Amino acid sequence: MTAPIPMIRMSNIRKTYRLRRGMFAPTEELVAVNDLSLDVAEGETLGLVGESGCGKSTAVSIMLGLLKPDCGEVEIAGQKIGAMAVADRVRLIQPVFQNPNASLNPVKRIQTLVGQPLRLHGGMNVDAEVKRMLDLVGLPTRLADAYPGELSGGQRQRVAIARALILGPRVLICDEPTSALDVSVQAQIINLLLSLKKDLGLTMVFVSHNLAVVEHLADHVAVMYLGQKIEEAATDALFADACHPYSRALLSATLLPDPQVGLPKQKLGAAAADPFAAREGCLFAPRCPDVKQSCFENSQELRRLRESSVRCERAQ
Amino acid sequence: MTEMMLDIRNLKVSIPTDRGMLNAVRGVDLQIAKGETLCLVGESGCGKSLTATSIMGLLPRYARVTSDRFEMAGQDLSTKTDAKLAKLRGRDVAMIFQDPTSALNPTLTIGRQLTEGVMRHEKLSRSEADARAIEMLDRVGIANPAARLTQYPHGFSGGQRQRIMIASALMGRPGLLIADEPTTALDVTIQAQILTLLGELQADLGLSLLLITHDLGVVAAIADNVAVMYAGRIAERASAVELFAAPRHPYTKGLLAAIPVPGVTRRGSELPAIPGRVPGLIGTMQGCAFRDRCSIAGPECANDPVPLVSTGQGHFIECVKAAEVSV
Ligand SMILES: Nc1ncnc2c1ncn2[C@@H]1O[C@H](COP(=O)(O)OP(=O)(O)OP(=O)(O)O)[C@@H](O)[C@H]1O
Ligand SMILES: Nc1ncnc2c1ncn2[C@@H]1O[C@H](COP(=O)(O)OP(=O)(O)OP(=O)(O)O)[C@@H](O)[C@H]1O
Ligand code: SF4
Ligand code: SF4
Ligand SMILES: [Mg+2]
Ligand SMILES: [Mg+2]
Repeated sequence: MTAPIPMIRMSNIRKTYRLRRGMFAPTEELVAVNDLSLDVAEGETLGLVGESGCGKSTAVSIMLGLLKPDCGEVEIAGQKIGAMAVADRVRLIQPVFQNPNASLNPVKRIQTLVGQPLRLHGGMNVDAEVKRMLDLVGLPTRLADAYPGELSGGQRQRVAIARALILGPRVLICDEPTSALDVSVQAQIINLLLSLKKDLGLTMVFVSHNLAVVEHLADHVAVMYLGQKIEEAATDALFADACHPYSRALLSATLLPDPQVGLPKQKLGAAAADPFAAREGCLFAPRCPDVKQSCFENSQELRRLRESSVRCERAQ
Repeated sequence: MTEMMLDIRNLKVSIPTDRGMLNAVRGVDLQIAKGETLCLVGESGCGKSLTATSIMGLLPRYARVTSDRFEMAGQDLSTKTDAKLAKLRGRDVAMIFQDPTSALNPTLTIGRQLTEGVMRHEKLSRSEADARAIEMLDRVGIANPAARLTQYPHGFSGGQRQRIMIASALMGRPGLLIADEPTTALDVTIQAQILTLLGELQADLGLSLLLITHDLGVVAAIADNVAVMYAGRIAERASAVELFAAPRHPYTKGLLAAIPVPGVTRRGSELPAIPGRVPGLIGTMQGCAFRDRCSIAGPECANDPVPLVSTGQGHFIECVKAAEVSV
């Protein structure tokens, strides 16, 4: 039996930005994503976590076909995304972004906003479809005539999700969809995503800094650091037994709603990752609590360790 | 008696809109002692940022602000003229804003941005101001601060920029620091560093801290006291320990129940979200604003005013049924 084709396959993606650090500084190259490979099976949810600026949004923009990688390949349902016509692509994969206010035109009615992708791509029965979508995401039909400004943050994020779903995509890419929302609205959106996954069999990628939310939603988790995937494992395995020192640092820095616990003791060195720093040896070495001299010399490859794929020679 | 850094009573902020008066802050009492950390939490749009900006005196001109008392470090600010106010605020209170992208100007060096305020307010010379900037950058953990003064913001990571924001806020040696969602955009390891830093600064400088956040994990980690805001009013106020152990207001209970906790909440289970949405804030409101969403609401909840119940030890709940809400 051959393994089924993954719904999302990213192979060896690299993306660099060229920029200057000061007005008169020379142009430099910033490696935003480096040799990133990810597989997501149909119906699964991948959680993507990592430091601010580690390349998560760049990676998902490439996944969506909105940004061209320098090299590497993205296949969605077995088709190369670069070779796909836009009309086909948007029916297959859709994004939901962090800030629903920025993505919704404030002078258009909800009805228009949700129906827009369908109208644009020549769909039929737009009104009926809009109604079905509003139903699906749990918005009362009477809001069809409202403007975004009349809706709550959670309702606006539901509108963004309805709009993403109206073309019937098989993949939903969520980049921090709940980080601007308070916890009660966050719970509403998580519940909605869970039911969409169950009822429609959607494949999802979920980017977030909130590990508790990732733990709740994701089947697999990939951890990134400075453009690289440094660990990937099933959610249970990662939360029970993370192998990479950075994954462990992330887990131990997660704050619980319990005042008896307090702040975690920091063991990480250096304030933050420097995307311009030399790229030799382990990229995490300047901050790693377990670092040895060899870590600065050997570039690290992903290897199998227990239930994880991990990029660290010393993890055991 | 503890010395008060901030004492505000019955703060109201209204904003005229084309559909009528938006009463966004509808009678807020806020007291912060010297050295205290108070966290302000609540639903998006409930008036947290407006409350903070009114303390800063940075509300848009068209906003209407009233209060029965507005004291900062023992001084009555409600009677001060604009120019005097600006001077006092420059000295007593500083703020880190919610939107990190708008906070640092990408076309000015870090040094210029840090020193501008103190050179104007305190009439410091260039070299005195630079020395203060170096001291503050060092304080917040930016390595090699003297060399950093000539750099532009884009040479710094998100976490470093947030540290620079804090250094900038500390330049005037304020007694009160207001931080609006200071760690929302950062990963949790950097978040922990920033919160630890704020805690250290507080211990060293005797700062009072008003921190606005959606993240109840952050609240639990650093708050002395918590104020839960709903639709422009404080629904509940208590010490952090008391609030997490024995929340009394139905809205607070709803918030706490809605957070997934790894290892406790079953993965993929439906989370108990609070049904419904916040009421519109245009015009006046009768009775408890949480009434439409409250599972134990009764006819008495429609009456004004909603009683403020105290259970002692500084725990206050604005709810007519607070006495019977189970602990
Ligand atoms: N258009 C651009 N031009 C230059 N550099 C960029 C651009 N977009 C992103 N970068 C840089 O690329 C790196 C990766 O950025 P990206 O936005 O993908 O990170 P992220 O993981 O999504 O971060 P966050 O958690 O803060 O959203 C960062 O160092 C960022 O500063
Ligand atoms: N300049 C303004 N003009 C008109 N309305 C405003 C203005 N500033 C705030 N509002 C409105 O006042 C209410 C309170 O806003 P505020 O920014 O204080 O909310 P918040 O509690 O900080 O929310 P969030 O958690 O989303 O930051 C909202 O309904 C908002 O839309
Ligand atoms: S390779 Fe060395 S420096 Fe890198 S994560 Fe492993 S122990 Fe740390
Ligand atoms: S006053 Fe009534 S409606 Fe309001 S929170 Fe209390 S019980 Fe619920
Ligand atoms: Mg991002
Ligand atoms: Mg706000």
